[in-house]
Amino acid sequence: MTSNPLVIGNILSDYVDFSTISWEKVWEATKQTLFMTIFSVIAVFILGILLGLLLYETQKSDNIMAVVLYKIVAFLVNVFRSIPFIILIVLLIPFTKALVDSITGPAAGLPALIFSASPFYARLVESGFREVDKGVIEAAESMGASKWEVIRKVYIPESLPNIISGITVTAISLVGYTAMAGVIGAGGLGNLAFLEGFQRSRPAVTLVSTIIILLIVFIIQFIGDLSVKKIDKR
Amino acid sequence: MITLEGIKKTYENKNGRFEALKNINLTIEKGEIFGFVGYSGAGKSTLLRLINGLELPSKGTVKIGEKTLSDLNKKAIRKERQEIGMIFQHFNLLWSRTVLENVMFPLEIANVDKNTRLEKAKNLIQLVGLKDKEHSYPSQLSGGEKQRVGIARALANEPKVLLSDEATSALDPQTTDEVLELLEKINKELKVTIILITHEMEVVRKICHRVAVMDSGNIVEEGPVLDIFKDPEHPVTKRFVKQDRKVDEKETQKAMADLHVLYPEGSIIQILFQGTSVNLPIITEVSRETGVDINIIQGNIQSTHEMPVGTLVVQVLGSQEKRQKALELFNTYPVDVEVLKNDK
Repeated sequence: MTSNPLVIGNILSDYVDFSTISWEKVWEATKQTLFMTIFSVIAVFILGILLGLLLYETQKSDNIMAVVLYKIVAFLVNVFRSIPFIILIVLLIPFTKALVDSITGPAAGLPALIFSASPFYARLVESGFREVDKGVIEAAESMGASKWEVIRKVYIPESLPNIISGITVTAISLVGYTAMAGVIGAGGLGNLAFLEGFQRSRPAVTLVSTIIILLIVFIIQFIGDLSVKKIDKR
Repeated sequence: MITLEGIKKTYENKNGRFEALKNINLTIEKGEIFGFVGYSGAGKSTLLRLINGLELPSKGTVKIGEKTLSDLNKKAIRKERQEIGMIFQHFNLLWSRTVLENVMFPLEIANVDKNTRLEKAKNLIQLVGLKDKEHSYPSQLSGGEKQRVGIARALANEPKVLLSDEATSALDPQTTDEVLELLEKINKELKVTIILITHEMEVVRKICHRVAVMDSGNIVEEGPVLDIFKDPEHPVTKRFVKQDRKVDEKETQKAMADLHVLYPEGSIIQILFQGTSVNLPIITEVSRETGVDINIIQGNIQSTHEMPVGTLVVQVLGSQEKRQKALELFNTYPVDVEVLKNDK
């Protein structure tokens, strides 16, 4: 088929035919995406740090219990990190149902989002801890710091740039995951792009959804980079 | 004040056993500056870490005052550590904290209230001469300044003992001198016992009162610094003392080779002198008495905290007979003479 200028023109005009857009729905979907992103980021941040800490602390221990715990946690982390997100959502449907009593709506997206991103972030946190200067740890211990004090006053502040840049990367991939979660009914911009944009042949809706998602990603990246720049005094 | 008794420390891993310390017995007195000198792997670092309980001995006891470290539980050891400051080769400051916050760090751990923390930290920063750098971050400081912060931090909890782990090894000679002066001042003014480990005999010579020379897990020689310098017995000690005296061995050797070409018949001797003998007109007298010509190749004088110690490398020119006489005459003075080269 030869390319027809008229057809291409029609396609382009479809993309910018903003009259087909219900801005109310766009706003609703944006709020849902933001809700899923923000809540999952917060949960992943907390869970990931705890899990990362657990991985780090149990790995270097020579206590047999710690070694076993490390093996189990490391295995689960690797498993959850490896399952493709779209499959994980489906896999977790019964669990989600039990937890949030629904398999649609933004809240239903959260368990899968958290389950898939926490292990990923935990690994980033763990490697951040591993980069902390051992000499500084020794210095803190030589001052009589307890394990908890070393974690709170040395590991966390000294690896903060890594922790922050890690959560930035994680948050960005979470935005992507929310779009996928949207497709199977969790709402949000992914859902909007799929249902309104694709199934009802309104490319403009898809385009707007895409732009909003990009904006969200850019803003996250900007905030992340700025924070890292501000706290990194190395 | 610190007693080490029958200390043994072995590490075990997949590759087998490693004896870091074999049998260490030693008492360090209150208020002294005690140095451990040795090559890397001699066990100095391990020994230092036994004193603040970062490591526990496999055998033997470490006593600080009346307390035996190995009898204490973890919490009590941590409490004990607050009274032992430590400084490090690589400073080990927290990059995320300003100078002031770094110095306050040990005070936070000791649960000192905020106002006292601030006041103490500020005083210490002044003591180490960094008043205008309080709010700088470590990355903005030079090596010498970082070590000053390290020292201020180590002193924050008013320790009885300060441990120094190669604290000047990463610094240039001038900064090293400044840091050593600071340590000496702290020892004198705050009456802090200082225990330092180093592989630089220069550090020992400049500030230590007593020294123990370590080699593969043992103390091979121990005593007042001046005695060790005057009369080193163990080969390792001799090497350290010699190393410190020959400021630039290569250059001396080159100079010797050159002179050897110029005056093939000369002998080259090294004269070591200390204390009052530094002031004697030995060279002139020997030259006048025996009629030899004396060429100075290299000379230096070094101060120990008690008295000066000097080295002079000279070439003695003259007949075999005269030179022999000169050598004998040299030996009547309170100096040590070593013939480095003697051409027939």
